[in-house]
Amino acid sequence: MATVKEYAYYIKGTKLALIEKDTAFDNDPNSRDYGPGAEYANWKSPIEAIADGIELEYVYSPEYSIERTNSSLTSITNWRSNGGYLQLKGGSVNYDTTLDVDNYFVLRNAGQHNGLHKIKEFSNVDGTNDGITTYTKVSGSSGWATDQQFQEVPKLYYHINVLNDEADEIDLPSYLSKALVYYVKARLAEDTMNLEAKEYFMKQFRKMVEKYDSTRYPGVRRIVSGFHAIR
Amino acid sequence: MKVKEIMERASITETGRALAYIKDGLEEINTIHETHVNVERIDITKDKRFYDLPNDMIKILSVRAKNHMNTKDEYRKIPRSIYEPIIEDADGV
Repeated sequence: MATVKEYAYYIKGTKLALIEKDTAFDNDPNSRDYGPGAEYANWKSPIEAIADGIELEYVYSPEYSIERTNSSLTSITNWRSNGGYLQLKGGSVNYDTTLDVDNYFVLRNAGQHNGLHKIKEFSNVDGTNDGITTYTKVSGSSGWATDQQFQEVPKLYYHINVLNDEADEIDLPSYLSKALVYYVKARLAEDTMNLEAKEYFMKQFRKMVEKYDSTRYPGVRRIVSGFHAIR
Repeated sequence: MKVKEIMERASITETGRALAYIKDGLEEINTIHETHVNVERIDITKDKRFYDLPNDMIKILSVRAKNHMNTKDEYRKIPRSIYEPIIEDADGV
């Protein structure tokens, strides 16, 4: 049976720091873990490995849409830096048969490499064309290091519609698309240093987005004083 | 709505510039109201404090941990620590 744990997190740079409360006191009577401040001293790095231990829910920008989610590749296992660019490999699959140079693909379950990538070239790693080098800049080892293996099984979606053409559809509700028009107008006004117009369009933009946000929460919104507030 | 329709409504003729502003606008919208959400699971490694955040992340909605304050393998939301703990970690940033 699993044991009860107590976690907390904080953000440092581009990383999430996970800390865990250690309730196993040592038997040193001079230890600070006994006295005042012990509750602060007991927070440390995770004391046990847990598969799929963190679940991160986050927002991403719809600069692309996945056209077909039922066709994906699940053979990618490792990544490395190839001349400063992200290179993927796995499964000794000839990726050149499914993908093409300059195509886009989206990675999911790939940790920090989640998101949109563009193919630069294919290369032979363990077999024929089983390595995909992308245009994504990355810092990491140039070898296939064990700490650069994907923890999960990444999904590589390759039927992608990227926002790069006038005919592309923006994956937004109609009302928010209208708000986007105000945003573009604001940026154009800013370019000509027409700051009054810029402020007006930004105000309209925020108003529309907030109005749309309000439509998702039925009922009255009230600000109430907290339980310990002075009455 | 298509990119072309936005360009017509905003009276802009340069496609590249319009696309750049539209992408900026999409990010701006998502900082106020989330339109596209993804859930990612990360393995916890013993004594490893720092974990990479996804590159396409704009805003964190929730950080949950398995067995946090329970024994049923449930994922529960974990609090954000205001202060860093006094015990530092060797893996650093």
